[in-house]
Amino acid sequence: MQSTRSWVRHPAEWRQIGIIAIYMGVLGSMYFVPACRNPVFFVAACFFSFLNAIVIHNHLHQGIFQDRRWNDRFKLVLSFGNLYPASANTPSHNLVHHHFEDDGRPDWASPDHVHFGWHLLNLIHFPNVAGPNTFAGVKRWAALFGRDAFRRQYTKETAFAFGLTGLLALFDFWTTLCFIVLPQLWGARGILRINLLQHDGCDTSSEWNHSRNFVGRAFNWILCNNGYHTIHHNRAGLHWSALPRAHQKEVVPRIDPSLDEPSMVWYLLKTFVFRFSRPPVRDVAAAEKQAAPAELAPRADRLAEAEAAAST
Amino acid sequence: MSLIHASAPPGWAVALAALALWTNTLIIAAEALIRRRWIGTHRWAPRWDGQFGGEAVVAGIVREGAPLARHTVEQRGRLRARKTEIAWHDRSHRSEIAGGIVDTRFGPVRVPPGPGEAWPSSTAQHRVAEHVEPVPAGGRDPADRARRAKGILRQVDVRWVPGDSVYLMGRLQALDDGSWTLAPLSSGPMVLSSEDPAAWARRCRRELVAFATAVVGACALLTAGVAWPPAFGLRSSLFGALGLAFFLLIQPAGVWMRARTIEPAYRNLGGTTRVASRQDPDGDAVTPGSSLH
Repeated sequence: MQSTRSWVRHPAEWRQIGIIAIYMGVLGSMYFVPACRNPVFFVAACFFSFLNAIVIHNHLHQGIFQDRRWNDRFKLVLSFGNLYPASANTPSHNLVHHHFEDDGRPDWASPDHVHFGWHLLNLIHFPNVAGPNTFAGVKRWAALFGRDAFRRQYTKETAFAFGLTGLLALFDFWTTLCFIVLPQLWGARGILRINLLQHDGCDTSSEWNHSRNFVGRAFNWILCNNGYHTIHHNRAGLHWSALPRAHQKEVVPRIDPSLDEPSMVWYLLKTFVFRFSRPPVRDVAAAEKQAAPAELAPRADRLAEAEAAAST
Repeated sequence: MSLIHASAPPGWAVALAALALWTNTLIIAAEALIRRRWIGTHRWAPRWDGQFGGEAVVAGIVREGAPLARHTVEQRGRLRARKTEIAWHDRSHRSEIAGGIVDTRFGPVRVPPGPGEAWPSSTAQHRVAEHVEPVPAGGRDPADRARRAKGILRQVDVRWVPGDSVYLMGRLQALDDGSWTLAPLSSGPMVLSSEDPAAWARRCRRELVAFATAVVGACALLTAGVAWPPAFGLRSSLFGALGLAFFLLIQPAGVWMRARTIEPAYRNLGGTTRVASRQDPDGDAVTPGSSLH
C-alpha cells in the first residue's frame, strides 16, 4: 500500500482534494436532504463549483496524484462537478489560451469576442461565446491524428458527467435541475468569465502585461493562488503553491501596477457595476520596457513544450 | 418524469432557473439585434443619391487589373485520426486591392490600389480550394507531412481578373477625363465583392431578426410549458428538461448565427482534402478534390 505522502505529488494538493470533498458533500446534502435545499447551501454549492473549476485548471496543468490512473479517475469527479469534460482544458487552456491564439486566430476565450456597450452585459454574455468556441475547438483538436488517449478519456468524462447528472435527474428532476445543474453550470460559466477579468484591457502581445492579477492573500489561499495569473502564463510548469513568491520576484518589477488588483470583488464592482462602459485600453506594456529583461523562452518554444506535454 | 421520488423545488430556486434561462435568451437575442442594426446602419447598404460623388454599390466587369484584387485564406492542414482526410483550419484572411479599371453602366471606374476588403463568393473559394497545392509544393508526401503537429500550409487565393464581374462599394468621385474613381467609404474601406453587398446585408438582417424572434418565442413556449398545471408534474418536468437543453444549445446557436452573418472577407473556409488510404496501392498520396464546410 502506498504511503499518504507519496499518494499526492505535493502536500498542498490536500487543499484541492478537500475543496472537492466539501463540494460533493454540499451537492449530496442538497440532493438527499430536503432541509438542505436552502439559499445558504445553494450559494455554497455555487461557490465551491467555481472552486471545482479552479481545481480542474490546476489538475490539468499538474496532476494531483502520483498515479496516472488516480489522476484520470479524479478528472471524472471534476467533470461531474462542472458538467463538462475536464480534459477539455488541455487544448483550450494549456495549448490555446496560454499562447493567446489558436494558430493565427484569436484565443477561443479572448475578451474581444464580446462587444456590448454596457460592460456588465459582456460579463454575463461572455460564456455564451467562449463556451461554444471552446467545445468546437476541442472537437477539432481531438479529431486530429495521434489523440487516441485524449479522446478515450474525454469520452469517459463526458459519459460520467452527463450520465450521473442524467441519472440523478431521472430520480428527481427538479431537485437535480435546481440544486445540482445550476451550481455545476455556475462554476463552469464562472471559470470562462475569469478570462474576461484576467485579460480585458491587457496587452496580450506583451510578455509581462498580458494578464490582470488578483493578489489578496485570503483570496489566493481559497483559490489555490489562481489570482497570480501573469506568472502562471509565463511559467506554466510552476506548481500553484510557488506562484506568490515567483510573482513577487519576476512580475512585480515588470508589470503596470494597475494590473495587480488587491481585490477581485472591488474590481468587479468598479468595472461592471459602478461604470457603464468598457474601461479604455491603456499602454500597460510600457512598464516592462523599463525593467531588466527576464530569462523567458519565446512563446513558440513554450507552445511546443506544452504540445509535447499534452501528447504524452 | 421522476422514477422514484419527485420533489417540488422551492419557489426561489425555480425563479433562479427561470432567470438564468431568460437572461441568457434575451442577451443572445439582443446581440443578434445589435448586429442587425450595425449592418443596417453601417456601410453595407449605402444610399446612392442618384449622382456620382455619393457612396454607392455599382456592378461592373473588370477591364484592367492583374489582378484587380485578391483575397487569401491561409490554412493549416492536419491529418484526421482514423480518417483518410486532411482537415484545414483557417489561420488568416487577407484582402489586397491592387487596382485597375472596372466598366460599369455609368462608364469606367478606376479602382486605386490601397486598403480595402475583397469579398469572394463561397463558390469561387470552393473552386480554388479544389486544386490548390500545399506550400511548399512537392517534397515529402503531403499526407505524411499533415500527420505532424506542424501540419502543412496552403493558401486559397481568389483573384478578380479582366472579364470577372465585380461589385464596387465606396465613394465614387468624378475625374477630369470623364471617368470615375473609387474612394473609401466615409465609414470604412472600399469593398470589392463577387456578390451584391447590399443583398448580403439584406439577407443578414432578415436572418438576424428571425433568429432573435425564434429564440425568444421558443423560450416563452418552454416557460409556458413548465408553468402549465399541474406544476412540476410529468409535462412540466419534460418542458423543464427541454428548457435545460435549450439553455445549452442556444449558446452555440448564437455563435453559429454570428459566424453566418460575418463579412465574407472574414468568413471561415475550413474544408477537408481526401487522401488515399494506407491500403491503397497508390500509397497515401493526396487525391484531388476537397470538400468545404
